Amino acid sequence: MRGGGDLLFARTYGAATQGVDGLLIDVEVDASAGLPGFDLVGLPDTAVRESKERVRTAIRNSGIRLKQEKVTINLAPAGIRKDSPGLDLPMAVGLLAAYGIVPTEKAQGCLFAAELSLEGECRGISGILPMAVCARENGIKAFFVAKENAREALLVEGLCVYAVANLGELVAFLRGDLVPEPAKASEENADEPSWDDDFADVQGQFQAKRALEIAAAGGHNLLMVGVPGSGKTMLARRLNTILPPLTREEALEVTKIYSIAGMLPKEGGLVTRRPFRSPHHTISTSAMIGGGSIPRPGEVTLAHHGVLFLDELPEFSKRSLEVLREPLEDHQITISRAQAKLTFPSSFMMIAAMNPCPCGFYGDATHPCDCTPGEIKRYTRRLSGPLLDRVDLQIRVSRVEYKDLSSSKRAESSDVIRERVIAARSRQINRLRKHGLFCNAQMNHQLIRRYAKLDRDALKIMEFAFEQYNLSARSFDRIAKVARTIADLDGKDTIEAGHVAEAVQLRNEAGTVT
Amino acid sequence: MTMATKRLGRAGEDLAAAYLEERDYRIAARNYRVPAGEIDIVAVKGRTVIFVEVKTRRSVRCGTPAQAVGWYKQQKIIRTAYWFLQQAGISECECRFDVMEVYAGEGEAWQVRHIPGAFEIEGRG
Repeated sequence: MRGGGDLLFARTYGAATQGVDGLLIDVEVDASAGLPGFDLVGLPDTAVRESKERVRTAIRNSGIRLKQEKVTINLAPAGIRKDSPGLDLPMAVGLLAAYGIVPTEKAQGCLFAAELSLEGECRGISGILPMAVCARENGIKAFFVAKENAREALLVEGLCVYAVANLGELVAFLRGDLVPEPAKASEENADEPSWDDDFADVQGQFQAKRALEIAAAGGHNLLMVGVPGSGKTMLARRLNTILPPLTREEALEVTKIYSIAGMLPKEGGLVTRRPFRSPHHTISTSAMIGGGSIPRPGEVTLAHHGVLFLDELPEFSKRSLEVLREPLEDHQITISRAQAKLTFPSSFMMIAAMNPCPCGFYGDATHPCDCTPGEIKRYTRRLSGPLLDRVDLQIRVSRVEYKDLSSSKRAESSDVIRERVIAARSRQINRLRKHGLFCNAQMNHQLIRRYAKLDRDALKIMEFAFEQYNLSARSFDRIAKVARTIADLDGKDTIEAGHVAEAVQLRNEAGTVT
Repeated sequence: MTMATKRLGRAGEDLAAAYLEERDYRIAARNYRVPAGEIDIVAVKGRTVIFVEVKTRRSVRCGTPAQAVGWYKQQKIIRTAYWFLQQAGISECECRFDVMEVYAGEGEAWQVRHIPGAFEIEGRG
């Protein structure tokens, strides 16, 4: 094939990502007579600037010879920095259309997103799902992706997706030499995610398990304080097994985030498990909340709709803990950089574990603690009041008794607990759906006033607790929320004295908050 | 520049011009020299104007001749090409930048290698 005839102007669509959303990019190509040159304008990032060489080599190696011309490629909107290697394919198609090798009208209404190899093979890129969502919103009629991205693109319903192996094949499609077959969604593996871990493996620890059940049911944050080896980590790692399954909308949101982070498995379909993130305590602030000159999602966003587990809480740097306050309160995080200001969703359950003191045995019945009061104070002071104030449930996990460990009676399994959690969640969803929320932990002050009404006995308990523990106004809301969840687990509409009593006890059992 | 290398370069350019003429190129100018720089051969074939840089070498001890046409030299040729098009009153036409390598051997054993479209104007991108 040889480029010839009239040189034209051609335009087609590519896509990039911005935050967790896709962004349609107009790719305009103009080829005209003049001193030969290749100009790429419209704020391309390094990866895109280099695509110039990939595109031309890929075209040549697909057996197409293009005469050297004065080529100008513009990526619009020009004000946004483009960093997706997926712009290779639309640039190649636009170039071929400008040279009259593929019909311009064919290239015009389609979206292309794939990286090209020097040979002309299409390679998968990250961020396909948000691009597909964006394509549907903009009424794009066909979306061309690399083979390995097809499944991900098909998650968006009502979009015609074509999987292309290489540039030569795509040219044949667009010229009409080959009739493209739209990719079809393979049987979605709707099977329930299975777990290796189960709460049945944990002997004893009834109180901690109860607290985890309440946390799971209402989406509350939880802090576990306990001696080394008491099973805090073991318990936390099993939390996922009792959480309700992701709804389809939640799953799409999570998949979008993992798509942008490039963390989907290779044959990536929908993410069906709730994320469980357990960053090491040496994590930096930007890794925690997201960062980079073009901000990328951090751990709080990767834990969206899932669990953020912080083991050895006081070992985290103060800064990386304090930045959690905003996402814990607003369920989203806004990152500002010179280049861009982006908002990422971050609605997660924070589960934290810590020892009561540096040596770990403070308060243990059998093992003496050899820390000085000063050391203990310094250790716990690393956790600021405002952070702990956002933790609804604070419990003490004690050593497992020998008779519990050796007991051959199998503990309650995760499946049984999950049933109860799902029942409690569905009560909450019915109540909160009209506010766009799905669990008690998300209620604000007004909603708590409205939905977490206490009966007379319950109010009495609350009053007693206030006097006894010097609680703050925020604590009142927190206790009411947890009491609401306990009542939901109980299947009751009104909050009774027993529910409040348990909530008060779980709030301050660890003795970390004054 | 010694007289010997000057003579060698001149002989290489003569050979390159003859090579192009044999292949239906019309030589429009030789040693086109303006303040911006110099172009060894400006040729025309069909509707295309071709700017040719000729490099002659006795050996490849210091790299191939084409390697010697670096970025700086390319920019100089491009600037001169603009000058040429302006002077000739050509506004829009197809253009090309070629490099021709001439390997100077003993006696008659000279070789010419023609590289059409050797380089182009680099965009900002």
